[in-house]
Amino acid sequence: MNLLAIDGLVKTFPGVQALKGVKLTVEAGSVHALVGENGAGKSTLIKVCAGIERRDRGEILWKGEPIDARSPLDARNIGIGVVHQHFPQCSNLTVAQNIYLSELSKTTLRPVRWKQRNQQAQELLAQFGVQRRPDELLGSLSIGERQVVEICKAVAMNVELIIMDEPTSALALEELERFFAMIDMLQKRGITIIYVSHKLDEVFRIANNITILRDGSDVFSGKIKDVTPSDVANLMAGHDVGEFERLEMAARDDEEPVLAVDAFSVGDRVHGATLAVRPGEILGLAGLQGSGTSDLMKGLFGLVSATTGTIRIEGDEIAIRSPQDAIRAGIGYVPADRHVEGLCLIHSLAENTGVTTLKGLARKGYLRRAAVRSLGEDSIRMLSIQSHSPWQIVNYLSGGNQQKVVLAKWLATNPRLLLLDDPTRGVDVGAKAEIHGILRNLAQEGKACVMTSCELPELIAVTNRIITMYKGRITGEYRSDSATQEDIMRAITGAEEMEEQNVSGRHREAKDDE
Amino acid sequence: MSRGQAVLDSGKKTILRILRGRETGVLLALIVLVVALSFLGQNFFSTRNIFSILRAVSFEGIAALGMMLAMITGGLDLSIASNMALSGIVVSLLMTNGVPVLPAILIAILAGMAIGLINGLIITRIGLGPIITTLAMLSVVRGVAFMVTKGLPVVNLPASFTWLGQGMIGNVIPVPILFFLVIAILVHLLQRYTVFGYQLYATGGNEIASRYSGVQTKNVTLLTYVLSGALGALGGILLIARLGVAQPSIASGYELAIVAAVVIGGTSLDGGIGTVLGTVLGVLIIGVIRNGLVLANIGGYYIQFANGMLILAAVVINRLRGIRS
Repeated sequence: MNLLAIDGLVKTFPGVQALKGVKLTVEAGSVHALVGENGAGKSTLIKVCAGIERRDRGEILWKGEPIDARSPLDARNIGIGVVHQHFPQCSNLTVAQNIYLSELSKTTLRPVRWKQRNQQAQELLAQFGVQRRPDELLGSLSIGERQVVEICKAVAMNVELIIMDEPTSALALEELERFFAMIDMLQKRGITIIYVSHKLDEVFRIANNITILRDGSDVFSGKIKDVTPSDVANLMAGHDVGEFERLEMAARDDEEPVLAVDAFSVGDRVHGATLAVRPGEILGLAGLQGSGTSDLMKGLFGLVSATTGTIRIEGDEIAIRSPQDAIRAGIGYVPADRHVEGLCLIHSLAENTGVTTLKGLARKGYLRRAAVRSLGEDSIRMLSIQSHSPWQIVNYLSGGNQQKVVLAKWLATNPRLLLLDDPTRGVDVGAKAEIHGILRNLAQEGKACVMTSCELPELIAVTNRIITMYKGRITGEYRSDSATQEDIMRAITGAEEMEEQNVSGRHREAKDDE
Repeated sequence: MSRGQAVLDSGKKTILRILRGRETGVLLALIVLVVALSFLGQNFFSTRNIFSILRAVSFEGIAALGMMLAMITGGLDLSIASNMALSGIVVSLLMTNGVPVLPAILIAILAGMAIGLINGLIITRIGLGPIITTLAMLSVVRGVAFMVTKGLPVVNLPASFTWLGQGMIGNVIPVPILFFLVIAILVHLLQRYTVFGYQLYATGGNEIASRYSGVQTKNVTLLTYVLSGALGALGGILLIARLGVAQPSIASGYELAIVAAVVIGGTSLDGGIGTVLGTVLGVLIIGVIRNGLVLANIGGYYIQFANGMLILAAVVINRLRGIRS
């Protein structure tokens, strides 16, 4: 029986058609994987099902009946619960209060029997292996435990379908096994799951069926046993994986490093990192979420203070205590979240690019509009930004063009060293290639780059050298022309360490928990 | 043995929790203040003085409870003092035109709720910020109070009405204190034990999470402004009853003292945190300081300065607390 049947679903946002007629059929009681690259339309599809976004066209049948969820509350009442990727929660409330937030969503003056609720919450949590008091503040729980709370919230609403959006992206490796056990338990309770992910190993481990989205359309639907991981990967990309063009570049090994870092530690996030980048080199930092790659960059840019260690720029030891120090030393930083950290979305392209070089754009304290404008025009030309005017508000540019604006802002400072935290996150394939081209040009000019990426093939293709990190420590160094994804994956998941120490995974977990 | 240990441990935890609680710091500050002021003169500890402090803070105290509700959602109601004045004018004009006391009071409270509704609708439906919205309403509402009275005080209020502000129970306890106490208990019960109270904290804690959870966060926020309007009105009505004359300029500038009291009481400016107990203690601190300034013959010119410094101190303490945790 089909629990949910979606057909011809269309959703358009200003400037982009996110869903172009998607069909999705979910069997009752199954775990249905929904996979696709960033921007394939997964999030939009979920938001439509969850009542957060309204569809433009298309049919959604629930047990054969047409439904129209106009709000998250509607969706819950129908029987659809969602566990969002960055599940928003109320950390000022207790665990139990978070769990019953959906169930008690009708505003009344009815009293709440917290004693009883706390007890029910505790039983629910225990079933999913979380031994926490229901009256503890949510803020004191680990991310994994908070996710269990989010799932309990859906279960408490007696939903029949739970949509999970990248549920493992926030989890520590140790928490994964418990999470998969929880999926089993939900399935035994008869709950259907739509599992949204791009981690194929997980999908193949738990899913019964799979739908692949690409550019807002479904390109494949079927049983998981009928496909192989490489089939799925190829369908997701629409072309062979590893299409990133590799370009050999000679790093100038004999020259003095632009950046040399020694025994650099940032709180409990980065432990004793030592590395160097030479002119003309693009260095990759590989690591999973929480491995410390982003923290290392933030430390080098003075956003968080280093606990110990030294930084040398072209041989001179300097102290970087603030972004101002870093900029003075010739460092630029492209942050991971351009909307939050990179851009003033409501301001124009020219104003965004000018913000790093205001002194140069001013004369006797007056900002010269003409200079700002020509900087914007130069940026548009040099980085081929799709924008009709330098005064275009960046909020209305596409993700790739927005990212180019962030790059332009730093190129305006003529940096010696550019730190790039996942510079192609959420941009389309074409823009990715263009950004890679920009980085290579910078390297050819003799500048140094340090970058991360959530896609290993990209990191291998774009960089000269890759340093791997795991739990805040550097675990290895690879030449990009000879490294394989498997090598690097082992180094960033700690698998290599475990093999060396000959300790089984489970044993390690037990120790780490203490 | 282990059972005894467990009891001991849980006892320890409870004590620790109390010591870490936001209200504990406020209570300690109040105690220190009271002890310090008791050196100023023997008058301070007289029953008469203590009840007079309590009565003096009751009017703003009731309004402060409304302000606290708005602030827990992450908002603010700067129009509350103007609302106090207008409700006082409304009740007085109704009574002097022959409307009996109780209906007059109810209508005046409805008027306060209507002002709160306007605030809430502008904030939740049009999406304006609470500060600018209620700042504008501060002036609009005060302006209406002046317009309807042409700036003249309303006098000759019935004795059964002024008793609400001036009367004593058993010749000892002033009536307004009882109002303050009852309202405080009611608001506490509302926050602590009802679905609305729970959603109030949820909305202030994470509006998006609550909305995604199906909570009608806009309605919750709207309701807090209506309640804030109602409580402001009640505070204003009692204040007029106490003074016996309704002047359109009454309670001018009270909004800052009220915000000060709520913030001192540990309510977070970011929303999500705040208790009745804390707010009551905050109100008492303001009242005791005012009383102390008078007893010490320092005089009323320093009161505004003291209020301002208290707001700053409270916000700084809240901030430091936030950084540490």
